[in-house]
Amino acid sequence: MAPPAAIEVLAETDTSTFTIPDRLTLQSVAKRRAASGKVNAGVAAAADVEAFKGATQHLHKPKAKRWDHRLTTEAKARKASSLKNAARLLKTPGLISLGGGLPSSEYFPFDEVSIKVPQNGQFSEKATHEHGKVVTAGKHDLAEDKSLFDVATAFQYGQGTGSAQLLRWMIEHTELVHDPPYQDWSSTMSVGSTSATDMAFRMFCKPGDWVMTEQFTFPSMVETVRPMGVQVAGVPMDEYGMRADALDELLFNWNEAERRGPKPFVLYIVPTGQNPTGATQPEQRRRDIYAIAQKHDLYILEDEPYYFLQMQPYTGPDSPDAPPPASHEDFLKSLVPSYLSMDVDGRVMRFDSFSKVIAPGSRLGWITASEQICDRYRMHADFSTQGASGMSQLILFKLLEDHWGHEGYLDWLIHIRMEYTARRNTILGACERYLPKDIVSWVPPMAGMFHWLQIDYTKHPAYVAREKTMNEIEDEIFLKNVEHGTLLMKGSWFYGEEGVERDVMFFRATYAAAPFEKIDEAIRRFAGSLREVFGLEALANGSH
Amino acid sequence: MAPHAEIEVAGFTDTSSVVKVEVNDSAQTKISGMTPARPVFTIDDVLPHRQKSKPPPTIVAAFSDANMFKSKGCLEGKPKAKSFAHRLTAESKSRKPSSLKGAMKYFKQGTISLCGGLPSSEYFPFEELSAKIPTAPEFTEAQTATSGKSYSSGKHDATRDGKALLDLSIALNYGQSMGPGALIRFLTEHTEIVHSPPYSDWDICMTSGSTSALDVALRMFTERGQYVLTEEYTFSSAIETVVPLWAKMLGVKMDADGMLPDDLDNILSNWDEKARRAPKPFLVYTVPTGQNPTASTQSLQRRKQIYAVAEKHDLFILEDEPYYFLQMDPFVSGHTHAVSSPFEPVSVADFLSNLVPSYLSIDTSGRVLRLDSFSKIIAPGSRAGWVTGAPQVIERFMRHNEVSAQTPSGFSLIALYNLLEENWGHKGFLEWLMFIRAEYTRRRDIIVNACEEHLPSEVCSWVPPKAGMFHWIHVDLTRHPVYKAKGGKQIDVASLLEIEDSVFTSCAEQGVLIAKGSWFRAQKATDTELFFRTTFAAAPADKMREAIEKVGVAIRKEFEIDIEDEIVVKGSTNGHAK
Repeated sequence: MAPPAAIEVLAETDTSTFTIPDRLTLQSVAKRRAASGKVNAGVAAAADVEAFKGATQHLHKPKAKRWDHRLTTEAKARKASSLKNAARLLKTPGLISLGGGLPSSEYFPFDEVSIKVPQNGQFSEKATHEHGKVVTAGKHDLAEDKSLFDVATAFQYGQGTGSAQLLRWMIEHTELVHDPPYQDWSSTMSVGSTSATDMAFRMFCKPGDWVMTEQFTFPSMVETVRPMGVQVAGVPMDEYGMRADALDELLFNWNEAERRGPKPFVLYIVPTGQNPTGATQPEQRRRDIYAIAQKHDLYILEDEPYYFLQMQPYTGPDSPDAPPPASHEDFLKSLVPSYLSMDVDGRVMRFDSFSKVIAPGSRLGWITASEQICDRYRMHADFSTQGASGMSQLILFKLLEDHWGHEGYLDWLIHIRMEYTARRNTILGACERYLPKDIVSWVPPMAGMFHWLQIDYTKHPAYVAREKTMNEIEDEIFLKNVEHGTLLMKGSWFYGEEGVERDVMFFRATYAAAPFEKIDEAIRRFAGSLREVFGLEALANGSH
Repeated sequence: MAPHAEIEVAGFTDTSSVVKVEVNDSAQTKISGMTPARPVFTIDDVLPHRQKSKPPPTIVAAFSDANMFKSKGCLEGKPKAKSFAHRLTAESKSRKPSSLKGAMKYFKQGTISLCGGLPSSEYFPFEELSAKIPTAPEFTEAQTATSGKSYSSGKHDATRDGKALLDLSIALNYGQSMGPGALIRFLTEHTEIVHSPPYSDWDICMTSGSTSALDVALRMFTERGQYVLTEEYTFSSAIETVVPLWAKMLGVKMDADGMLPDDLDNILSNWDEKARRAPKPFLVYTVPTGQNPTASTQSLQRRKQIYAVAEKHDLFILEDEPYYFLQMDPFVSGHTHAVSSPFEPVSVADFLSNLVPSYLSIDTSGRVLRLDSFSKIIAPGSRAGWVTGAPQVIERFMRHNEVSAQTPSGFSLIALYNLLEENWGHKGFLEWLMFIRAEYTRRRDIIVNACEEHLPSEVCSWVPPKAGMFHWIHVDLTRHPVYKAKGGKQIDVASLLEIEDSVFTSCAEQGVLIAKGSWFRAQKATDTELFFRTTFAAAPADKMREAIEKVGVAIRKEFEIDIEDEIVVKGSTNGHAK
């Protein structure tokens, strides 16, 4: 199969971005840091995002639009925490604080924390077990000038932005990968994207509103907004994800009376390796959707947990694998550009998460958006999540900053990319081998964890005889799978919008977790189940 | 205050721990005398109970709840919680369980799941996580550095090697929102040992800290336009959490023992929906112990009275207790309690009997959601705590968490597991709490003695705190020149805030940060008296004394008090002048 168009296009446009003289590169990070001075790294220190971005780096760019007309009264009513405001005074040298209710680190029962983590370039579980490196954070490393971060600081209360130490790394990473094209972008830490999307919807949606998303979507997203009294409008998709023309049409034809809600302006999308369809929007699709967003003044929530699970081009069952990216630059070039990277208006809030590339249990990620939006988000965080666990922040800091650095992290991401490629190739190989192709069809996923299989239920004898509906056949297949010892998700569990007629059937399979041979076996069982349900002959090679 | 009956019983069983005596119901009836006995669960019962029970599940994203780990006595002979469905918001009521989780019930032995979106632990770049932590009772920072032990969790300790109840492959993956079984078991036992709730079906859900838990709880119980009842001075972040939800705080009058039940009853009995433009409130937010900012601690009697008002008006109580274990020995003027070195813990029974019983421990209806936090007793950066309440309320809480904070950080969970379960156990944990209590007692003594020494007694007054981290100082406005100039008329809010700011600024100019009382006013701009909040939680002793001396200078300056005159006055009254 030909490599996906998106990657071809990207390779061309992206090479030019690297020639822009002032874009941050892996090589210029150290220079930037030296110029911006020492990180203000004390207890509950406010992060100086401007310094992390480089004071003059983005001045040639336009400023973000204001979003006052889109924010909810809840979001607008938020004020900075009066106590944390007072904490600004803490920077005064020699100040004795009897102000904040921060306990003394003397009473944190932890002297040091260590992690055993992979050496750069030797990332497998086995290599880590055998000769991983032990990285240690002491209680007072900061005061003792051993590191920028330590137990005493990380385990204390912090700012809603997250610690300056780790936030600097995130901002540099964001600039290395996305280089947002407006001046006043900012980032602030989240406790994972589930929490961040909950907060974002509360910032933009009031009861009675609608949000727009892909017609098949992550059920948690629906379960998050519905209790807020917010409805979900599904936008039709093709193999490249949400259709720009369908989005425009939905908005153009929006009938407030019929829908019982104002014309929506919040667009929630998972552009890369979308859950559940595995669809990845190519660059042009993103540009088309962004243009629609500008036309209708939309605000985009770009949820990207799978962004770095973009895989090598799929070469087909019997072809040699594509060689891994030759350099960090090649790797970055191979990525489809994000909405953030084309967001001239500041109308995108991007959600980054470590859940899929480091570990879900980190409960830590970050958002990137205009300063206005980041400020609102941070004030919300001050009164809810407070900020990510200090233990997570410290451990990720030790891994990403003190141990791997930006280069080591990109190497890790390339490792993950190659691992997921192998997993994806395993499931696709099994599908080619076992599945009855006149009934099942699919598009090879380019990113993410999911393989989305379309079932032609019209070939089911009971459907032909008008004895069973599509939904009944879906249920029959699901239960037959259970009988055969394999579990796949029903596509109908992923409908975003309620009460819409459906005429397509899908099952979702993930290749993220099961061992390779089990993936193969599970698909073989699925094939057997389908053959039984559709009354087909069993395969000669033992598939039931 | 009389000790809590149940805890007395616990005291008996606990002190006898050297020769373990099985406690049966009749023995307890005898011990507790007048009070009808409830079976009591002590730290000595933990091991035998565990040996008879199923261990916590050790698979990824396993479900657990408190009922799996409760003792028999906890489940039997107690009523079930009442329903509080009529108090839940539309948002909370409409939450549904995740449709994807429904698929997992079809999982059986030998099934290969291609269902969940959980990544493989193969790709977690952590082979091992270790923490060096103190061995009970060698709790000081210096001792931890020398005699602390490293506890490690490997990636597959539980799931593959069977040598632990939690490992990195579980803690660092997605999990159920109540938290991992090993910690739910520990917290269930802890709840029985400390609170022994008088209804049977209470449940526990871990939280990402009490700030997050409060945000969730408020969204569960507060519709727009409603009032939340709270102490007239309250934690400023609680106010700032409520306001954006379009709800309002209504302050209930307080004395040194905290919220006044009569005033609470009055407000509710005389509620006029039209005049207030709001329905009669039913949600009480209270910090019963070492309240922030006033440090007031409600006595058992006070708690019972407030609970009775709650029963009368069908209220729901959010019991926010970050400082519960920071209850201190009584203050003795001029004396500073020393922390024994090496630290010598008292018996667990003695420690528990000195704690004021919680609302949870008197909650016969299940109308209390208790918020516990590790922030003040372990570390704020853990961003972990737990809530205890009726199963219906906990279930709604979990549904909310599933689509927001999810769970505490897996790194925090592993650290807490090693600290509480692998290292300390219940005894070590309670001894750590005794250590913290002793340290806070010492710190409290330092600040209150410094206040006696350095603050002008003719304008400043206070009640020595019995719990918490805060010392709340009242400054008599009637002694201010403005009051005198106005011929003894009540000082208006604007002038009050000016005076307050002037003292605050004058402290800051001298390099001292204190908190303004007005920041904590439940209803803004209703202040009639002047207060400052100081904390003794963190500053070293000499710095605390230096800071209080400067606060004294600032107040004297503002109130135009001549220090020369004052020394004479002070010297003649309490002998603490320098």
